Amino acid sequence: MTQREKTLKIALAGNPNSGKSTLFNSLTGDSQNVGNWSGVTVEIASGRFSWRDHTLELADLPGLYSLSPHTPEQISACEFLINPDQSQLPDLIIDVVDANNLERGLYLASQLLEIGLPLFIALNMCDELDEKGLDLDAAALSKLLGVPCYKISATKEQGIEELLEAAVSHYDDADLFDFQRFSRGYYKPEIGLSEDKPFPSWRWTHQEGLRKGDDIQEEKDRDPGLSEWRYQVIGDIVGQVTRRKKTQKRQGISRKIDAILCHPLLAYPCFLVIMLLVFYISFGSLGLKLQGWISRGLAEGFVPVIRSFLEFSHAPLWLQGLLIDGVIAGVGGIMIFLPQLAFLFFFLSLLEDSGYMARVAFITDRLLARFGLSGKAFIPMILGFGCSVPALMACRGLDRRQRLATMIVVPFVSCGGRLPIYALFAAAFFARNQGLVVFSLYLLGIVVGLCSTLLLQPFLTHKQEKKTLFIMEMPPYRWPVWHCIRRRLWLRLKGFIVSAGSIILLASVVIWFLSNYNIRLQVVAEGSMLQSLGKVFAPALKPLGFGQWQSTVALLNGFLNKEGVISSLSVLYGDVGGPGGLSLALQSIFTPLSAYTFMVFALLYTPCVATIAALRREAGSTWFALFCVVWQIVVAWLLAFLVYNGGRLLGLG
Amino acid sequence: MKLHQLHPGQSGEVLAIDLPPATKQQILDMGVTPGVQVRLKQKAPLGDPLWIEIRGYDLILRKSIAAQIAVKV
Repeated sequence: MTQREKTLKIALAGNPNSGKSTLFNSLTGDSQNVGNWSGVTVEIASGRFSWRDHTLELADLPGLYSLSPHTPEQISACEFLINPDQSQLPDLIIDVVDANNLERGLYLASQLLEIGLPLFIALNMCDELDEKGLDLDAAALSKLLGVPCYKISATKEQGIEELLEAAVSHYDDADLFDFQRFSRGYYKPEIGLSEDKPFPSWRWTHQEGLRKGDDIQEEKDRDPGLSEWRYQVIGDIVGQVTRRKKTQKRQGISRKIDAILCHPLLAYPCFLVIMLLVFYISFGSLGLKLQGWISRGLAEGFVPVIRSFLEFSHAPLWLQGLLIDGVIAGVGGIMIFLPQLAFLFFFLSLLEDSGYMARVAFITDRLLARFGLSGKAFIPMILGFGCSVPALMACRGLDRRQRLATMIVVPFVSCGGRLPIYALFAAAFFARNQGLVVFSLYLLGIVVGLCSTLLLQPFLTHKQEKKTLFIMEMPPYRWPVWHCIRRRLWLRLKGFIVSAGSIILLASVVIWFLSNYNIRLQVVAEGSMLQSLGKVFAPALKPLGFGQWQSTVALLNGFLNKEGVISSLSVLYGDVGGPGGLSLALQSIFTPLSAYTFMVFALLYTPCVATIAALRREAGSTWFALFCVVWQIVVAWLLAFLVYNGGRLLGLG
Repeated sequence: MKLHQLHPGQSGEVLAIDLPPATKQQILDMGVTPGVQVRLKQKAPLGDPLWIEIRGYDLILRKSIAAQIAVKV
């Protein structure tokens, strides 16, 4: 074969939620270049894999409804497909069409056809079609459209071999493609199409539009008759290739679930109960039990073994200290929270994949409208429970009017890195109501974020900009696919483990060193370098009820990375594996009130370095990122002050 | 009659869309074109947005947009 050495570049395009990423993942496997964090693809992920004799490079594009982009992610997808630089273009496009949503999927296909690149249509989720009692004739569809169509199921990994086989062996087979068939025979002189010039000038309008960004078509009416015409033709075609076999049953189930979850009165209570359940299971019951086992294993099994080994091999005292009080206390102190994080991430994936997230957007839109946001903005906020960085990236899916406003909220949403702080403090001070205390903090983060965005709204948008739009597709409920959830869970946990093994490890060693030595490098109990540093900042935190240099240092370390707060406390209070020792140490220093204040402050006080970088990148402004940091510190201090002193006035201190 | 005036469960045919070009294009791309059948499935708990059924799939729209879409029952 001639393409033996050549890498074939394939673009996966298609409507949002048509299963491109699922196809991408099942093709590339656990390929290294896959950087897809959440179900929402906002970046062009690419992955290489070899298939038979070929090397294939697959690009997973963000979902598109048409080639008229409205958000940054859609612009990047369009630019990938319509690139003036021919060498950058993909060799072929696989358009993933949800077979259950044929008309809208083919609407995009009708535009992709006109790009003129070899196009293959993957009719995805054909297994659901059977359940619905619909029959789809792929051969007839191929003939009518003039491009090859294949039935596949990305989740069940059916039909993918045939699709690839055809794509690889026939991509330069000119006979297969008849890009003009769609427009030929249907041409309508009255909307400007003709036999010799069947393609409208949309390509040029787009090239122009892409550069201008969001509100491209505002000034240019892009001939609405054309969209109408496309849908008309597609309606004809769909009518010819589908047949109903029997009545459907699946949608009935979806409707019954929605009758409860989107019920006028029950919707909000259901949402609260679901979220409370997630928090209760993750932090209250199962997660806590697992965490207990791990920390006991660490304290009673691992640490004594290491200690006796070090003593046996006559390791110098400083090395013993470094390993046990520095490395194991710091890294171990954070790793014991892995089970709780795993539960939280698992439930988040479940909510994302089942389709409930879209229902949440539907029921919260009206509430968010008051803050100048739409229901869609709720999705990045919930993703923020995992990590602020991918949540900020998910803001690319929002239109310009609400993007910055949502980006202000996201860092206030409590991420996974802050979780160990609550897990530890809530267990030590609020043993009976752990789930509730943690839930209150998560809620507080969102409320403060929303109030911030409301206060800052006048500075974010121009007056002439109208209200935000909210146009969203509502997917049917689907059973989450286990291997997709597992893959995503692993990706998210890997981030946590990697940071524990790198930055936390380093920070623990540095903190251990700085807290045990003074400026003349002598081992000291009092007057260490860290103590001096902590004492500089401690007075600022004194009015909040935690003026000890240790907690000040821990919070400073949290600036690098939120997990660092607890790992520093473990190192500073000489905790040797397991939260038992640290909890006791904290109980002698904090009161329940100052502990809660500490959690409030730690929740709000500043985004971590990675989040600040993401804010700067996504907003395209250093000032915006810096402003967010300052704003959060000020807000955190004021609120913590209110909580602490208000609590004392009420006699809670 | 406008789209948001349909009762939950009621169907209609889209007649015309009166929106600024960019918004109109976005609506058209989603398949809301003159002549198409729509059904208002339900309203959100607080009355806005609307959940409609169109071209075999479900679409969510704000009331303010639906109010600019003329329908015939």
